[in-house]
This record gives sequence, structure tokens and C-alpha cells, in this order.
Amino acid sequence: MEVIDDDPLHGTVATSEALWREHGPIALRLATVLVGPHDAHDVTVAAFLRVVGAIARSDVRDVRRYLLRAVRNEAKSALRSAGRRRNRDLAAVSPASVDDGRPDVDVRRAIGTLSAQQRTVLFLTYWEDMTEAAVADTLGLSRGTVHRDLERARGRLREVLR
Amino acid sequence: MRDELDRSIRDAFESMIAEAPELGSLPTVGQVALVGSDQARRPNWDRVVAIAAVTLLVIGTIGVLLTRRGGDRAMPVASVPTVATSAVVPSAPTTATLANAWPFPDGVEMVVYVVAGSSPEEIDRVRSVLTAFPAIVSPAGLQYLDAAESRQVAEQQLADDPVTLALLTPDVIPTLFTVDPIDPVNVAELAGLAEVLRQMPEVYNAVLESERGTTTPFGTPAPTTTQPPPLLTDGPPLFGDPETGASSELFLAAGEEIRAAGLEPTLVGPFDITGLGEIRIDVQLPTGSDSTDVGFVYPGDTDAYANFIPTVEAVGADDGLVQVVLNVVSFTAPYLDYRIWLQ
Repeated sequence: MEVIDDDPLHGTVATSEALWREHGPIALRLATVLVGPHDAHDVTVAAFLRVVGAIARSDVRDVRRYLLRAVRNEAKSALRSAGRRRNRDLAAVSPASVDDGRPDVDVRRAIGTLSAQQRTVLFLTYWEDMTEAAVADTLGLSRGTVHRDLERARGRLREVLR
Repeated sequence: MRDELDRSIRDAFESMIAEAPELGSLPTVGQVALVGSDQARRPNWDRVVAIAAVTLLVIGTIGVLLTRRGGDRAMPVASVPTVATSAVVPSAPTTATLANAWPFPDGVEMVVYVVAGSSPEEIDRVRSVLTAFPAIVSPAGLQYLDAAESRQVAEQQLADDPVTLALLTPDVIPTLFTVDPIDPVNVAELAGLAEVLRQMPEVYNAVLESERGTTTPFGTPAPTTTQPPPLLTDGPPLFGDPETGASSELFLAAGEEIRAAGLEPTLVGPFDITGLGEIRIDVQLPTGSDSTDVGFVYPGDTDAYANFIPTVEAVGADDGLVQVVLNVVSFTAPYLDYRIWLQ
């Protein structure tokens, strides 16, 4: 059992529209990486509404962090079925329009084989340029878990590039 | 090699993110509950509602009442539909009987059950949320039934179940709003609104006509019908590693139930969570089961759970491993007393 105990959150509650504009883009990018472009918007919407609900129930200040966690959780839910997961991963990493011979396509496919958490860690590290400590804080994970996920992901991708 | 790997990963992300859809406008409430459905994929932007307004409403209601939740409800059941909590009392004998009854006038597509004993102000808050979505519900389509009128509905619904009917005394019977929506076909909008309503402490449940058969109209009227199955105290270890006795995973088989407090309370507590927090419970399901098979309930009749927000999510993973995520606010308790089972 994992318990995430955030600090008490105090601050102003911005309007939902402003929150959507401010934090929606990064959530949408993460969702795209996790479930592919087809379902990314749905996952982002679900996560955002969950955050709105959380704001209603408490005094949430760090919306971005909560939203990214919600996206990760929603993405996991979307990937629940193994069959659906395979299809979505393929959709996420194998667009029909790209040349399969390109290295980045291989890397994309390899990314698609990672767990949702590993992909999230990889995204925040490489796309958002977060440190391991920041990733751990954002996702409510230990630094050791983040480091392990990152190394496993790199190892998997390194094999692809050989 | 490291530089090449880093560059390749960034390139891959760049090409993936280039395909990200447009952010668009703030989602409508109707998209909340049917995310992933075809309906949700067709944005109905002309019905964009001011979720901020609803947020403020809910802040006003839930925030104030969070401090007195615990004893208010006979059985606060997590209501997020990703976990099949509607069957939270699997042994309740009357569910099937109630399921097909819908003794409401034609056009009524949703019924909102208000917690028994709610004050006029609390009832008005429910009404305010309902009328905050003028594209979905008009005041003319809204009708409130007080306890006496609610009782009449119950008498129709429970005509063949006098035992349960007898339990629905005026002090415990929920009052209700019937909702005749503007567009009865747009179930997505109604489902989203129902989801918002279910998060209000004044609301016992919001039931769609299309959901009947999966819910108990008057919830759980009395403890005599809401007793959970007996605790599992025999049989193979269900909690913790047989060798070490410590694990973060629960293992259960079909039909089995776990009450953590009765087994290894030290493994699930104590909790002293301030602010917003999450408690995650990994559950290994048997082959062929998924998170929709998971039922979950916690006791709501003790002060320890006064600030326990009944939001439960089940997120899937590979190999039948699902995660029950409990969102909590300021939760302090010696242990988490909960039950989890397969439907």
C-alpha cells in the first residue's frame, strides 16, 4: 500500500477555464504519450474534471502536480484491458504515415512497450526536463522508484538503438 | 551512446506530441462520465457550462459539510462508477426487486436522492446545482418530493417487499428530485450531471432511468439489510506475504472478501494525512476479472472517517493487477477499515 500525503494546500482557486488553459497543454501532451492521440483528449478531460472535483473538495494549490497524477491514473484506466492496451499502444506509437525504418519510430515502439508509469517518468524527464527529485515529487513516488523506472526505460530503449 | 539515446528519446517524444489533439475549450459536464464513448468524442461546445460556477457551488457545499460527514449517511458508498459500488451490499435481498421499478412519470430520466434529514438550505443547494445547467435541466422539469411524497413512491416501488418498506420510516427515507431533462436523448449530459451530484454530501445518490437494474432506488435503508458478509478469518492468507507477513498487496479470489482491519491492521495504518492525499491499494485479481468486478466499501459510521472522501478509482494494469485509489482529505485514523471483494 502506498500512501501519498501532500502538504496542506492553500491558495487561491483560479477559474476552471484558466486552469484548463494553463495546465491543459502539458496534460494533453502526457496523455498523448501514454494513450496516443486518439484517446488523449478524453483522458485529459477526465483527469481535468477529477481535478476540478478535488478543488471543490479541498484547497488545492498545486494543480499541475495533481493533474499530471490524474492523467497518469486515467491513462492506466484507459489501458486496463490488455487487448485494448495493445491496440492503443500501437496507435500511440505506430502512425501509419511514418516510415517504419526510421530510428525514432523504433524508439516510439519501444516507448509503447513501457508501463504507463515508466512512460510518465520518461516524459517528465525528457520532455519537461524535470529532475528525478521533481518527477518523484510530482508523481508521489520515491526517488528510488523514479530512478529505477528511468533506468529500466533507458535500458529498454538502448536495446532498440543497438 | 547516452547522448544518442537522449536525443532519440526526445525526438520520439517530439514526433508523438506533434500528433496531440487540439486542447479546445473547457470540456462540458456531459463529458465527465462518458469519457471514451463516441458521444464524448463529439464535442458539444455550444453546451459548454461554467464548471467554475459549479465548482464554487460544490466548494460551498462539500467544503462546509466535510467536517460532519461521518455519521450523516447510513452507508456512504464510493460512487465513482469505475468501481462497481452499486452492488456494495451484495447480500441486500431487495435489489433485484427494486431494480425494474421506475414509478415516475414519463419523461423523468433522473432521480436525485437527497440524504434524509437535510435542511431546506441543503436541499436548495442540490436544486442550485441542478439548475446551474440550464441547457440540461429547466426549472419546469424539476420536481422535489418531500419525505411523505417520497414514501408514496417507495410504496409503489416496494409493493412486494414490505420488510424493506417498513424500514423506510420518515426519518430515514431520502427525499428526492425528479428530473425531466430538456433533451432526454442526451444521456451523456445527464450522466455527467449525475456524477457531479453524487459528489455532494447532501446527495445520497443520483440514478438515471437508463441505469435502473443496477441501483437500489432508496439506497440502503437500515443496518439490518446492509450487513456486509462475514469477515474472512479462516483459509489461506489473504493479506501479506505468507513468509514475512508484510506486503503491500492484497490477494483475493472470486467471491472472497477482505476486511483489512480484522486481519493486519498495522499494515494499513495508522494514517495521519493532512491536506489532500491518496491511499492506493494494489489488488491482484484472478484471471478474467478486471477492475469493474471490484466492489469496495468503508464504514461511514465512525468519526474517524469524517473527512474520508468517497471517491474510489480502479485503474488497470497488466495481469489483472488493479489499483484502488482512495482520495482522502485530512484523514486521521488508526487504520483503514475497509472491505473489498469481487462481485
